[in-house]
Amino acid sequence: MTKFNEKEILQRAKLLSQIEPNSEATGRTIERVRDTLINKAKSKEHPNTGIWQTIMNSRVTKLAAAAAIIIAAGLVITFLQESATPAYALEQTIKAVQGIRYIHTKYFDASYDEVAKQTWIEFDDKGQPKNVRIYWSKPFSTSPTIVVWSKYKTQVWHPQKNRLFIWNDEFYTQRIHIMTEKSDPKKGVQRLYDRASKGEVKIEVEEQDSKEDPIIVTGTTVSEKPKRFVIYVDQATKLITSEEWYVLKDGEYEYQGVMEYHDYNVPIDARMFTLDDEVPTEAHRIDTRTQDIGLAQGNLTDKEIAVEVVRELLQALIARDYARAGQICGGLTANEIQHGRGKLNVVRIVSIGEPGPPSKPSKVFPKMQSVAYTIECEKNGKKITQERCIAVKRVLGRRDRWIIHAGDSCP
Amino acid sequence: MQRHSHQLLEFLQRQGPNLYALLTQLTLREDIAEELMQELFIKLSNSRRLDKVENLAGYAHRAAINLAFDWRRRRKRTHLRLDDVHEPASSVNSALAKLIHKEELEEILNTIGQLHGTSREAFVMRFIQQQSVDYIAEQMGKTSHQVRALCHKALTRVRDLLNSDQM
Repeated sequence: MTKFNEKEILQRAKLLSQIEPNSEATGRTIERVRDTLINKAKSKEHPNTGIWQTIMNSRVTKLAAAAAIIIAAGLVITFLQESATPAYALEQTIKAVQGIRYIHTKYFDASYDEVAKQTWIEFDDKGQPKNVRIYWSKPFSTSPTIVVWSKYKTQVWHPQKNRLFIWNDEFYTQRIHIMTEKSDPKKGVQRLYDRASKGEVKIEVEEQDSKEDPIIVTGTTVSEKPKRFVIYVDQATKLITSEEWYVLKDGEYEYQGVMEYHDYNVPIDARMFTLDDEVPTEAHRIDTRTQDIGLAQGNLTDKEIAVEVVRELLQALIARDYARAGQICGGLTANEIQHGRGKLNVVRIVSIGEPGPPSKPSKVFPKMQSVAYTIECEKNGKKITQERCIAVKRVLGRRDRWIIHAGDSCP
Repeated sequence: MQRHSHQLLEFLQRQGPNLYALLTQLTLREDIAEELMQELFIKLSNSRRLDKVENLAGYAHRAAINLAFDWRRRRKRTHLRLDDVHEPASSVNSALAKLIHKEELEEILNTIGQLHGTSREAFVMRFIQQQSVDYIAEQMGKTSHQVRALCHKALTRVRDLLNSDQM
């Protein structure tokens, strides 16, 4: 059995490129087309030629706005009755995607060759996400991450770190809803339609001659920094097959990425929405529903608890109590702390500053605080002073407890 | 004669040979390429948008590619008889013509036909017409980066399709 590789394909393409018709056939063809065009032009000068027929022979339609598309479609049908295919309107896709229960999407980012994000969604009968599975890779995550969500339970599995987080958190659920909206063709096409109706987006529709080629809907935002969305719609089903994003840079639309929509209404195996068979029993599990991590806030204000969490971490590092430091850092293992923050070799807290807002506000962690601090560390037998900053946040699913934030969120 | 018709005749003189060669490469049949050339220019002359088309060459090439692959699809559905089978188109290199395995070329063309619009267009322009990335970007109204990404994805897709057909 032949296994094709890219080199072989390119060789065949090159053979095709070397095919040329003979000059006699070329000359004959050009002459024939020329005669046809001249005869057609002459006949056009006479009014008996059916102008509507001539105009509508072209099935490539580009209209200025979604509303215009709908009106135009109506006109085409009225004037031409059965002689032409009705123009496509976004409403057809809005109708086609109503009531979908399952979808699988793949997002490819321009900065990364492989799939960056995959989503499997099961919707309830109201069109809200019921079960969601998300697979993140670069550039969204430094290592592959799988999120399995249902209304009262979120599991986040980091296979390379062998770590599983479990929580039930309202803010994270809101984030999941926002994320699934980006993968939900119902929301996407409705949003585009609404924005076009308000004049915020200019829509162009291009129908292809071949029934097997997709209808191309291009939406361009009417703004100083325009963005462009190109949606490919299957002619037969009117379902979106993919959507590309572009932003205008230096006068050109630069490709950002593409979302592909697969398996409309193909039931997703229930095992996709559980991690029971995937997470090894020896994996490090942090379940905030049953485990206490970080520090309890008690009667302290948000700023006071933020200072206390930083102080507790630094004291644990000075005492080389890496297990305790791991708990303050959200349930990391002692080994991870020892080979991470433990390398700082902290010997003394010089000062801990007044907490302030983080540089990047977070919808999932709206009360996050950034805390500047100064420590004395030992390096190569010498004591050095370091000024640093760290962010502190509430534990997902536990509003009464606070931990260190792993990411950088300092001003 | 109208300005529209003059514009098309000039375009035919300038780009006609290239378009005919492209149609021949995609159909492997000079007689079919001739018919499709007729169809292509009738479509162009019927187009009410022609005056608004910024890049007529790109537009016509796109239409030619679509026509050729539409023909391939129609033909696939039709049961071929022995007397339907024609010799492949001639080549400047007669030794090469002897070496060409028509079936292999048909196979790859039918696979390219399974690609979507822009992807197929990029593949044809880059790997069959052997155009530069910058030129294709200009014709397609995209950036060079986008064209490279499109070509790479198209090539990978063709490979996957060819290999899946072998399963």
